[in-house]
Amino acid sequence: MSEKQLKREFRLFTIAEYEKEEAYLARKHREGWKLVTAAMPGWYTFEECEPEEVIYQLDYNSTQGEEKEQYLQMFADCGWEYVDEMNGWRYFRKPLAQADGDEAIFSSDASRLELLGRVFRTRMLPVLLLFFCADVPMVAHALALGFPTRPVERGVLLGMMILFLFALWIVLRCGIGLWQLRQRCRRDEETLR
Amino acid sequence: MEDRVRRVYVPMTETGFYILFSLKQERHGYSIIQYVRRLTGGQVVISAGTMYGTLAKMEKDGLIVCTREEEKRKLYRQMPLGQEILELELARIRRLYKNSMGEEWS
Repeated sequence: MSEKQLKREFRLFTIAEYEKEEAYLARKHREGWKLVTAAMPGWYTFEECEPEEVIYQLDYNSTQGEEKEQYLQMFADCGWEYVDEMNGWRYFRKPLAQADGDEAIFSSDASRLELLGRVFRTRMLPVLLLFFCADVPMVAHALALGFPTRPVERGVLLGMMILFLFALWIVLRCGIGLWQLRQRCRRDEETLR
Repeated sequence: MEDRVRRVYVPMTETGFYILFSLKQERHGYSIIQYVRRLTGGQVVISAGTMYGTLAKMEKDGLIVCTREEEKRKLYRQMPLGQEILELELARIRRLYKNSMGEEWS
């Protein structure tokens, strides 16, 4: 028996892009690489496998201990293989051929909206707080002092501005993404009812 | 508190209705899924995440109660409040049906 080949790939997805992440993992599996671990944000380890159409689904759930076992049992009963967890996200997969009308881990938009609410409360709110209570005042304070003359100070200010813009970009991207997902779920919920 | 619960749950979603209805009898999540799939001829297939979330919510709101655990599967059953909500919903559905048949609800 030969050793299975492993490969690592780096790919970042924000909290609002879990659907893109699911599609990415399904594509890798289709190409003959199945997910083994998602150890750190953006770092995926794949193992060589038979190319197959497999559905990947992410749930945001932080249950631990006995509750986690019961949670995973429910998913296992429904044919979902638990792969790994990272930052509160749990990765599940199921071969498309076995789906039999159960292709997603959420069958109602109400429960999908609840997931978005959980993500927003536990992930987006802390970031927003940090952004508005630390980042914004810091940059405002620095700007209020006027433009520095010493090169070192200029460098520091420039660095701060770059970090600030980066933080702003992340906050906007996550915020808009979550909002769009929410709108879509709400629209679906209204038309289906 | 209970008034709020009644307002939140009625009218019910299809998922909510079938889960609550299935728990007239003690069952665990997956057996509810199988039961509902059979009952509706495959029209209503409840997914794992939806089932997990709905059971947790209904338990928290006092509609159902966890009776015991069996091989990592929690079994649940209706509580009087759950039964009451189901009856409210059934009355609503009966009214819809009667009205749609051209009859008045009294």
